[in-house]
Amino acid sequence: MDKLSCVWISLVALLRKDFVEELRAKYAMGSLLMFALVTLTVVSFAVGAFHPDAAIHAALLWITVFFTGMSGLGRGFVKEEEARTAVLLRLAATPDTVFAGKLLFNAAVMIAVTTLIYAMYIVLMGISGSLLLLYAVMLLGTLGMACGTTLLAAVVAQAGNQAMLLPVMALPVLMPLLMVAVNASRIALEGGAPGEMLGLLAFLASFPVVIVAVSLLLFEYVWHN
Amino acid sequence: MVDKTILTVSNVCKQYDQRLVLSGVSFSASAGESVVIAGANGSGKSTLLRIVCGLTTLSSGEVTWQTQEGALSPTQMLRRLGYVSPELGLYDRLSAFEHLETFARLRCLQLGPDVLSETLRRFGLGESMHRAVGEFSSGMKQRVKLALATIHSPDVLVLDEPSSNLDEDGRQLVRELIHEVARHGLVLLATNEVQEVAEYGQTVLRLD
Repeated sequence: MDKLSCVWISLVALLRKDFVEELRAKYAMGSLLMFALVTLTVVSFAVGAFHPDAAIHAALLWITVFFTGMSGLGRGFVKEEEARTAVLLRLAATPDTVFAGKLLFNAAVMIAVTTLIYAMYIVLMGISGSLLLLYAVMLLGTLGMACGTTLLAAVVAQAGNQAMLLPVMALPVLMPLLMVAVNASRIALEGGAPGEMLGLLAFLASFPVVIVAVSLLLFEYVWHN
Repeated sequence: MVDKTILTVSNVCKQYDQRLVLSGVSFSASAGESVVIAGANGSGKSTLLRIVCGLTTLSSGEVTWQTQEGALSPTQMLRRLGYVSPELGLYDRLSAFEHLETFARLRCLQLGPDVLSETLRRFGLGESMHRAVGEFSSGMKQRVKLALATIHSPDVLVLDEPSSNLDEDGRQLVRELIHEVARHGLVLLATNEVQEVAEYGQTVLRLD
């Protein structure tokens, strides 16, 4: 069997394991969904009646997405270290496969949660504008967040499972992404067209590529040390 | 790789904060040999095995694996060996069958359900292979670990207290595995049990 097929088989096996575990235990989805639900409910009670402008909505949306992500994205590696199953993975899978598997799982979970946040925000806050464009911005931003957080989650898991470290470490890495995502979301909420934010969309699309390339270079060291 | 594997451990030291766990440990072993690492609790047996496997970094010294493909670091050797340890966890919500299936695929082994079931039956888990591992006794979990460690027919088997929690059938299984691998490969075994030291210790390394 060629190397590419092997990588594919390993990756599917790892993803399948993570999804089966998630379906049975609801580690990540449960905490993420509850966090998103509570935050959005509080936000809608607090500012819903004041008809905030697009900039405030964009900021509130990304605060919700960022902290929801931080409350669950680190779990993938932390639970492997806590359950002492990380050694099993080190013994059987290549570091690249482990990184890719955890990244795809994080991305899938975050995209599902972001879709829910997007839908709930529209319902609860009654926002208007270019909503499809807003969704595209949120998906790209979320993908960037998942990519930027996966390597950091592995570092945090090695550092004595201190999950609270994740937001602290992630903020500087994700700051450029968040600034661009908030700006692009504001334009979309003001009813802007994609042509008005081509540069921002290009940044959002290239951020995950750069972060994944850097992470792949560093992950093996983090994973084995 | 089989008959050429040689492990060389040179002057290995391991320190956790201020505590020296291993000091100047040296030995070598080659395929066809079984090495027993004996010593009191806390003497560093498990740490030495983890260092040899590349699961823990060493403070000083060197570990090299000489194979037909050349010299490999412990980290490069990691996926080629079988490792069983009390420090190894299992996924509580997956069954023994799902464990074997997942880790066979992670190793890119194309083993059908029949082969996996047969393997689990050999390890005495035929009746319970589809039950969640979280419901297993510690002896049954040890059998799953042994099955996972040997599914890829490794030439190097690293066993840390392999008989712990096992009944007489399980101990017999461990005996068979050790003899099977030691015929052509290398077995490293950390134990406190006098009987195991006498039975498998072609070479005995005492850490005191």
